[in-house]
Amino acid sequence: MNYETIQRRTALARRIGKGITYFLLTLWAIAVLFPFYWMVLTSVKSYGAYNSEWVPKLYTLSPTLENYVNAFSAVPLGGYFLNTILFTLGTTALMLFVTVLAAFAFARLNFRGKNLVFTGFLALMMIPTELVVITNFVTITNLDLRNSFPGLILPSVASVFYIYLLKENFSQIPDGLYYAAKVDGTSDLRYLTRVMLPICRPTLITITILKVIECWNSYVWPRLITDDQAYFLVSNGIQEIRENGFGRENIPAMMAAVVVISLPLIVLFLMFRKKIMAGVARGGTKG
Amino acid sequence: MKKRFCLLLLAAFLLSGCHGAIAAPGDSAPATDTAYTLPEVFDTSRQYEITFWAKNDTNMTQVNIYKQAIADFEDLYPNITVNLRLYTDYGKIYNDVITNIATNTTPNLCITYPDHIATYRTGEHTVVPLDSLINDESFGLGGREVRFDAPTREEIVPQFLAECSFYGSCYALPFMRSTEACYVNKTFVEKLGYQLPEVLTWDFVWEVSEAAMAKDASGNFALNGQKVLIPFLYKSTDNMMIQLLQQKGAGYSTDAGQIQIFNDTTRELLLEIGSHAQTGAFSTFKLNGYPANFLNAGQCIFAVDSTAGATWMGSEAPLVDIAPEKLVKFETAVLPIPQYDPENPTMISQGPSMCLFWKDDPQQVLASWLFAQYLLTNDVQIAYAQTEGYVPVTVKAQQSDAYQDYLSRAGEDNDLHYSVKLEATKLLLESTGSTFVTPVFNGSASLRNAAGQLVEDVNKSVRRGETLDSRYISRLYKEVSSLYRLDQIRTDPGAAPGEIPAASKALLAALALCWLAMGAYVVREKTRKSSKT
Repeated sequence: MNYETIQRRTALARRIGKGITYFLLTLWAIAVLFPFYWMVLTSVKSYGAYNSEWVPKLYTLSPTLENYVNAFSAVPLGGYFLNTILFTLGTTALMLFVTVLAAFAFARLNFRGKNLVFTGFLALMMIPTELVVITNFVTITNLDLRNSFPGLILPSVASVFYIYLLKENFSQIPDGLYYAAKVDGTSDLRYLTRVMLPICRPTLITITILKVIECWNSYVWPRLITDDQAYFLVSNGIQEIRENGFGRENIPAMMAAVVVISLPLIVLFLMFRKKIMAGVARGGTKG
Repeated sequence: MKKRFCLLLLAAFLLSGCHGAIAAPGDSAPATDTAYTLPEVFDTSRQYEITFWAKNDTNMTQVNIYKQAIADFEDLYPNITVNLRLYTDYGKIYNDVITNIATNTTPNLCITYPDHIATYRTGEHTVVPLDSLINDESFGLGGREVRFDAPTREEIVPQFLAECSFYGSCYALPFMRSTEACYVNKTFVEKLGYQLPEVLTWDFVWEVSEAAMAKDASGNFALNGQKVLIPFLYKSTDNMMIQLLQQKGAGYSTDAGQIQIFNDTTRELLLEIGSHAQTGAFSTFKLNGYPANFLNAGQCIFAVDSTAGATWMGSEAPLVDIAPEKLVKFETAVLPIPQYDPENPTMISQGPSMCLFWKDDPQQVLASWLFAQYLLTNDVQIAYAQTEGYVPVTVKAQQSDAYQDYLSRAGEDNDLHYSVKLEATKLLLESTGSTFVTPVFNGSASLRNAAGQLVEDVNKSVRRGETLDSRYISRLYKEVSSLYRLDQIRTDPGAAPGEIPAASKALLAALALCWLAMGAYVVREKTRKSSKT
């Protein structure tokens, strides 16, 4: 057996391995992408044609954009979009404010009971959101905040996970920088804004993006506390199309609405995918 | 000092683990509610805003009728504003009302079913008992202070009003009534060589359905030349099971809530349904889609749906969900649902009712009561009944000239006077004495869903190639009973909840131990640190 034979065999094995890998990846990609294809395909089928299909067709010979028109006319989807943008921006901004200050306090300041409080925060992460939904519902109702943006935003503002993530990031900044800044007479707040935030910008961007995605996809809480259409989000909108379209589930219009609603998130993900994946990997959770 | 602080903290943590035993709504619900006393005078100097949660089939005409009724009522009572919130599903109204009972934010008035009211009532002072309201001389039904021509108690169909009475009181007013009907492709039945009887029997329906499954040489169904044919489609499988059991005289439940549905008759029925599902002769709305879509496309022979669904049935139906080129011409017959005893047909009575919710301000309740009465006036009753195969609940409306004229003009057009819709309406009017309702108790809504689930699960299992036998049915009974918590329905609402199950006790004990262990660890670490320093 000579070197060339070994080299040929190795190359062949590598090619076969790569082929199998790509084949499996292709299958997996089809499995993952098919629902998106189906979503777009259904959105361009007419309502009558969709209901007439006994065996669902993987194509359509007469695509139509009427469902996109119906999606915006059956319910005020444009208004829901605006509400969702306001809710997302408001929640994200407040969350950043609270998270940055809390993370700074835990990372840099010393106060009595700091470790106990932080441990308590981490313990709260064990409690599933669903357990506190009812309590929050009663609280928001008693405060007369139903059908209002404060009612939508407030329960989502504090996120222990993001505080923990940012706190760990802040902790990695050398103490020497802080002492040097203190020697120069810099206040804590100035040190936070001028030194810590710029250094930890990647983490901040990550938690911002993750929060935006979370707010955009939010359904349970908005559905629970809003019954006034003026405060519905896009998630409610899709549900309204489902229930109110032509007396039956208007699936094609629903799919059209989902396509339109998903586009901003898809664009966001494509632009920031590296940062999102880095943040997800760091946090060890699904985005 | 630190030790004392840690001990205090530990005690605080332990206390946070204890929760006050808030009485669950069902624990101390009275068997009968306190009678509601209407105020003697309606204070017209105040403004009232009432919320009405209504159900419609997203037939825009129905929505407009609600809005018109509200506008006309507000003209009569300018100090009352009615806020309308629309739903297309009774279940969603039910869920939202249950959610809002806890926070005392229920609507003033909502469209509902008696089954749902039984569950609402488990809270204290939730649903207003209507007896004293109905009989009030000033503001009762047709009372002297009412500003419109409201029906009196005697002018409401007694049977419909009786359906809203349970636990010793009347808790709702009927709004509309319907029943189930079988919409038949008569052309196909005759093509198969059969003659439609006046009253269908189950044997006839199964026989014709099986006969329709024959295929030609090219693999299409011989009857319609298409690749698709489901001869018998049932929309509401809970109604199907309930009516089958009623016709067979078999158990469903007692008035007190004792579950009787899991019996041998149910077993036989499910196995029979399964056998027809296996041949493809039978399916349900949840598995395949709305029966009218298949009927109108020539892909179904017997489509069972509410008489309210008549507006979608038939090749000339005013409301159609499928593409126009898919419609097939055929003669539509409207018959009562299949029977075991055609001489004594029985069918379920269904349809929306209205209930009022307790509010602290009795004037608000009075305002809501006035609006509820307004929905029983002839104009509203006739207009709404005309949208689909509903029947007005007042004798006054049913016998009015306008309604009689409407009934007499069947077939004049394919919209307001659509013949299938009017035939379905007349079916209920002529069969009111043959209708029945199921017992109402806290949990009856779950039992109804469980009844439907049995049929759905059998059909699903057929599709999955599972074997349907007695053992399967026994397993199905356990699963459905567990899914709908039918074993937790209390037949005596006044009785104590009973002992906590052993598994729950073990879980609570484990939780308490965890807290104790965490607290002990914290104290130990603190003590160790302080002793080191």
